[in-house]
Amino acid sequence: MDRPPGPSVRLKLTLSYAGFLLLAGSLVLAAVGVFLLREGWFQTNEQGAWRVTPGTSFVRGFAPLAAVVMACLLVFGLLGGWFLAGRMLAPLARITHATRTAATGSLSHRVRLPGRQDEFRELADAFDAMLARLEAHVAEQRRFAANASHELRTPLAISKSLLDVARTDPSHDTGEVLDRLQAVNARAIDLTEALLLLSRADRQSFAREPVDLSLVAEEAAETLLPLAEKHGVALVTDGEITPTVGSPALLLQLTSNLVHNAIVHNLPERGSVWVTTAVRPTTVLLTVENTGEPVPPQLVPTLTEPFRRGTERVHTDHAGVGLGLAIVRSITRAHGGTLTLTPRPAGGLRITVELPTAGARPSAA
Amino acid sequence: MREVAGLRVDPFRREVHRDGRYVALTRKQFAVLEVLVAAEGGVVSAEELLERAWDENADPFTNAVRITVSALRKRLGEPWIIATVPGVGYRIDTAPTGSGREGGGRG
Repeated sequence: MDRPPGPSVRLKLTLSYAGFLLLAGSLVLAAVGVFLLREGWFQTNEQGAWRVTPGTSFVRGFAPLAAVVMACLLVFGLLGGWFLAGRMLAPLARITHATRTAATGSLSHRVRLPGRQDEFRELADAFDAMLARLEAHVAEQRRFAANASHELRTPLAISKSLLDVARTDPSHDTGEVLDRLQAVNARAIDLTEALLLLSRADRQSFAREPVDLSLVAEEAAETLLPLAEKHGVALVTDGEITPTVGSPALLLQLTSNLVHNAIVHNLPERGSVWVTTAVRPTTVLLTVENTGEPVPPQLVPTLTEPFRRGTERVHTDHAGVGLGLAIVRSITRAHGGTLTLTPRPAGGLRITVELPTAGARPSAA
Repeated sequence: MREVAGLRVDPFRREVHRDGRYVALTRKQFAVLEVLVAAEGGVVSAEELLERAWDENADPFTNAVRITVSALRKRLGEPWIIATVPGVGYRIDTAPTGSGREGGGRG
């Protein structure tokens, strides 16, 4: 892989330059020679001969001159070629250096090639963009791993302290300890399942089949209606038949997460959630909109980050594992769609998932 | 397999066809339709639907039946085939009138 430091491309380019120069030079000299021969300038004629001593042949008259010219061209070609090739290849050395630095793990290094927009500059800029993306991705993964392990440790630590209490104080109510252990355990399982789901969506390892998003929305609303009614939230589902392609299970998960969030992050009473589907020329839209507390716009981009909860004062009994919208984002991405979060002026959020449509199909309801 | 008024309900494959056209339904929509079709045109009360298509733990004051029936009606399309009998319940209209607008109860 690694080449011993040496000017291989530079040498090749230099030799090519010199070679071309020599070739062009010989052609020109040959043309001149043929012209002179034909005009008879080298004939050993006593009258008309042009400053040529009698008896001199063409070869003896022209060759020394040609040789000097060729030698000049060779030297010129080699020197010029070496210089030019060095200049042309300098950015490449810089990019190679940056690649080596990145390969050893320092993703923060950039090529930052100066100069005007040419092929090398394009390569360097593309390389910088790639490095920036890699760096952001790695940082995200690290943060995610740290958060995930922290979140996973919490239920385990609680279990441990519950067990410690049970052991040191045998008179303690066993039933209560068991109940709390069960709750903590269920939470750990939920979290682990959410993590698995997230990685499944990220790996995009699922079968794709035709899915009607409006049916998925109705299914999710059906399942979550009891929760909505418990929270005093009116849940309204409406919209046209929206054909797309994807995993029905993952899309149901996506919709359920959105509707679940919309229900629990709502007004304390008389809240509303609207789930609508619509068809656009090349895409289908799923929109989940809810009433609720106003959401500061600067908070919106962070909502889809893993383990980020909208408000710090989340009611503990509603608090999910903090992966709901991160899962929505991953599933949307895996289906080639886009996710848009917009705060509603009156409070609450409007979340739109836009997925590619599954070809033209009449949308008879 | 049950057939009524152009509806073909296959409980094993959980498939519904209306006049030969496949209709995709959610689980609850299918369960409600099954109960209504089994009544063969008879009126089924909302309470009974709740009991048979949901479970005994369902909140008796839920809007689930009303919401699911209206979504189901929309999915089955026109002419409206599920009639509302005000104050009593729902039934399959075995002879929905042609254009359907005036015959099938809506709401």
